[in-house]
Amino acid sequence: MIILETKDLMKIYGKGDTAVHALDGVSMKVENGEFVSIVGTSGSGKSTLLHMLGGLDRPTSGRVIVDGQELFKLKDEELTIFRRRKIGFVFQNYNLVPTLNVYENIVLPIGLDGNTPDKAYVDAIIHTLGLERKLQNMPNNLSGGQQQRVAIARALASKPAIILADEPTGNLDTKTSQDVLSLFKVTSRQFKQTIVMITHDEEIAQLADRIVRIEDGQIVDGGIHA
Amino acid sequence: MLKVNSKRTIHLLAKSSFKASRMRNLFAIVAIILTSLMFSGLFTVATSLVASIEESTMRQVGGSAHGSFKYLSKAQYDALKTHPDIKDISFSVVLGVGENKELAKHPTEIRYTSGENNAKGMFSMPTTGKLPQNDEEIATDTLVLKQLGVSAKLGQKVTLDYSLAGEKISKTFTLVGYWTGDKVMQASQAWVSKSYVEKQLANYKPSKQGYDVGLINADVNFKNSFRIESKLQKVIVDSGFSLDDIDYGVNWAYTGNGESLDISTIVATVGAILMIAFSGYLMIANVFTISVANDVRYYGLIKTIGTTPKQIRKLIRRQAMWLCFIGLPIGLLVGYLVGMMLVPIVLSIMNTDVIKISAHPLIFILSSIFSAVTVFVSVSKPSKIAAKVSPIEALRVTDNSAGSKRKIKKGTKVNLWTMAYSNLARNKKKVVLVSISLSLGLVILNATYSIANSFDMDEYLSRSIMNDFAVGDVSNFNVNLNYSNQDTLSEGFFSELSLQEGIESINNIYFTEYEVPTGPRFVDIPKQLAKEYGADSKRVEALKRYAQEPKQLLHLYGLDEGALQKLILLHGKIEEQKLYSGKYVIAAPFDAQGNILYYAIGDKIQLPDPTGQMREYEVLAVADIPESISARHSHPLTPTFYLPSQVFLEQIEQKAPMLSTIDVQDSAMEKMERFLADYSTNTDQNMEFESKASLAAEFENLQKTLKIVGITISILVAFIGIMNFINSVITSINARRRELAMLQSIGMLNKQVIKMLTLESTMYILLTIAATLTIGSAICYLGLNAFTAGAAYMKLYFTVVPSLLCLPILLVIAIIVPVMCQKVISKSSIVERLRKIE
Repeated sequence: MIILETKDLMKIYGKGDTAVHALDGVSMKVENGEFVSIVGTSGSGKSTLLHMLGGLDRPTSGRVIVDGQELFKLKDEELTIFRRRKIGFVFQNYNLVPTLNVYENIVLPIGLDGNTPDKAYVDAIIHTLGLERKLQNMPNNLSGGQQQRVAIARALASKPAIILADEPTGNLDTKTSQDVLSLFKVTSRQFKQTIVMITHDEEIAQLADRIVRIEDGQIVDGGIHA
Repeated sequence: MLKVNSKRTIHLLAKSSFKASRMRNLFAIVAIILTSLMFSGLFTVATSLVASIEESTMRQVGGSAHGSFKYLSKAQYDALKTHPDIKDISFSVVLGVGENKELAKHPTEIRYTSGENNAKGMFSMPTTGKLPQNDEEIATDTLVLKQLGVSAKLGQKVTLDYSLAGEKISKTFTLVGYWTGDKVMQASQAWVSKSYVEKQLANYKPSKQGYDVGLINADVNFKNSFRIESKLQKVIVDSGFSLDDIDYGVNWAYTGNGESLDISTIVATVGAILMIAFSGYLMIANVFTISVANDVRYYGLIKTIGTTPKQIRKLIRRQAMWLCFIGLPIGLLVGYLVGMMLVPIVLSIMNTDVIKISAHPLIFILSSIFSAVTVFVSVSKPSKIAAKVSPIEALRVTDNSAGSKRKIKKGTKVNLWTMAYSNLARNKKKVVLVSISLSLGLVILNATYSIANSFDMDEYLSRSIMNDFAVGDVSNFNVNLNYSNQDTLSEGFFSELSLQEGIESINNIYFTEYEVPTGPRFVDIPKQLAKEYGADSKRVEALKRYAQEPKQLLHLYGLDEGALQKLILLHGKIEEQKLYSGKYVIAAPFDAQGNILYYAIGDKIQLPDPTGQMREYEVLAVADIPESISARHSHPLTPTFYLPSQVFLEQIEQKAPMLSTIDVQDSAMEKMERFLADYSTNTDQNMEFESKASLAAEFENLQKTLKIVGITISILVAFIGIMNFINSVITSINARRRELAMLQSIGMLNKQVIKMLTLESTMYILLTIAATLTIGSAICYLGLNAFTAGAAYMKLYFTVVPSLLCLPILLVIAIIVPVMCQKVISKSSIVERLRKIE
């Protein structure tokens, strides 16, 4: 079953001579439960692509369909709600709310949606990621690896259709990167999550089921599931 | 699908971000306090003003009831009193008017009252003793007792003379109750018992013609004071009478008689509300806009997680609400106190004697509503900005939220000035907001000083008093009292006055008024007025009507020599010999400039002498009398003449002076003040005096209070401005730590960084001063101009000096803040700072 699909995605910054084609007709598909990594050099358009996939930014043209819903047909408010229900994010700089403790951060998207967290499910995630003892801590008291694990827990907690990870290991040293990523992979298997991760690190990318390469805003390899 | 119950989570987010923004909270609370303070101050002054004027009117009218039915028979009263619209009704019956010669100048009505409610409503309830019960008892006020020479003690004998059906009656009562008399009231009451009145009136046939002896005067209160007249009419009609049967009257304290509710008052009030709302908006919106600008990353972040724009707005509104809960009550209370301080000042400007500070719940309700609305309107823009933050924008680092739209930068010159300028240009909106909020404080400061100095003491004093002291009847000094020749300066007073030391001169002013035939020039006055001043047709029309009346009320003064010299001569010459010969008179003009005349030089006028014989006088000169020694009242057409006192007393009327002006040596000033104060409180309560020294002191006091209030407000507003400024300088430096480190890594000296940063903050100050001196001054000037034009005793005085005096302080802050910041920052090495992500 296809959980994520893009069709002829275009994003152009600027006009006329100075126009930059950040995305130049990207079409790709992701199966449910798949772990896909998107690689490319900086400026290749991979971050822009991820922002489009997550509905954070609107494309110039083209479509993004997540779990059967075409994202950009939604109004801002609806899009935000769709996003917090269907898409989990993991960012390079973690993006934890500095004024909330670890547990509050993890259940925040669920609360924003007006739901009470599935206690057993959240506990299982916390256990798998080894965060039991850190629940009352504030984010700035945690190491980078720990913060990223909290971010992963937050992304998983709302049982999204898909998790988008933007250079999740970009701020971590090699050892921690490996740890975090394998945890990422384990939890996604355990909780049957689809993951799309962008990275410029080939080694990290190899951990994925499939690698999509992007150059100058166009997919050069791996766009359609084999 | 959109409706979700996320209250608890929003509450959690709001609480945590509330706790994290201590500084913002402090500024916001101060701003909210200031806003609600100004609102409640304004409403306190406004309602107290209305209440004071209302009370003052009620006391003149002699009652607080909404309205009255007059000249009722017992049957009529009984029919009316049960009407369901009436909240309470009470009555009194007049027996007569005190005719003792001691009461000649002090109208005293002899009545019986239905009870305590009625007496209270007429401000005539005994505070000592009780209302009379049997035929021998009486209760009255201290003024009547004083006039009759009876000491205010229960059990004293009081003899009253009155007439009934042409028969003179004199009766001695025993005093069973009294209260402190009020000079403002036009008549005093002497309560006697119901049984006494009924016995006296047993054979008397009341008649409605002209007099109300023996008839019932009913005072009515309704549930509220709206549309009293139609309510009175409804009661009459519903009770089966026609409007011709029953006389009724509305207490004009409730009719908004021009003073309390005219258009200009409403415009001024609405204007003040808008001004306050606007400055409150500026302060609060600034605080929130800057805080949102600082927290852009935070809002972007929670947005990527799934907080909707609506939720973000809710988040900010909720915090604003909490801030309101803290700031509002404080502001309301302090505002009320400030209002209490201001009420006497405003009332004294408006020449009202009665001071009543209102504690009407509406003051607090209205100021709460207005303040809360101001807060939420102020917050709506910043919260929209926060809601619109693009999640991606938030992932990048900030301080160019306005977006650098310039694609190409022209010019190649790079120095610290251009760098500082382009740094500021990154967020123009913030610069504008900070400068406006800083200059708001300065503008208010300028306005305060300008207003306080616009009060013209010389003008005030010359209008109110020309000599060291002026003594006369109470009614002479109070425009709210009707003057009707009740001159009280007695021979006893003058003989005691002559015993005082250090008197340089005493000049008396005598005054009388009576009707004379309309003069030949009067018909032309309306035409001349229209030609000369282009006066509005309404006034001209009214004057035309008055000029056609066959008779006019004439004012005639007798002036001692010192007062004669104070006349403002407009035409002709005052030749003393001619004037004292008793054949000549000085005439007053219609207008202050002397362009329009009632009588011109050479005109003849006939005035009656004490025997009623007419005497002819010729107009020698045209002159005007200064307001402060005049009778202080006039009619649409008031032909006025001045004679030397000598001639006035010999040829016109032998009477006591209306006003006596006294000049004393400086050394005797205080003694004289004490003598007059003592005399007017202990010997003759109908006498009042004014002294130049105490008027001047009062005036200075007024200026001082105004300055204190104004300066306090401007300091608080400036405080917010300065805090906004410091806040924005610190955050902008903080956000650029990495960038600054980068500049240093490519060769910029620490000294140069500091210089660039101080240039940035100095530019804020220069912008502020520029805004204050241009737009701020223009608004301030226009406002002051409108304000002073309408107020007596004010002469436009406009200054920007106070704001310029603040300039050095602001510049010092502008230099210290960035220097301190960079000092703290440069404690860590450039490499450390470069590597740091945030």
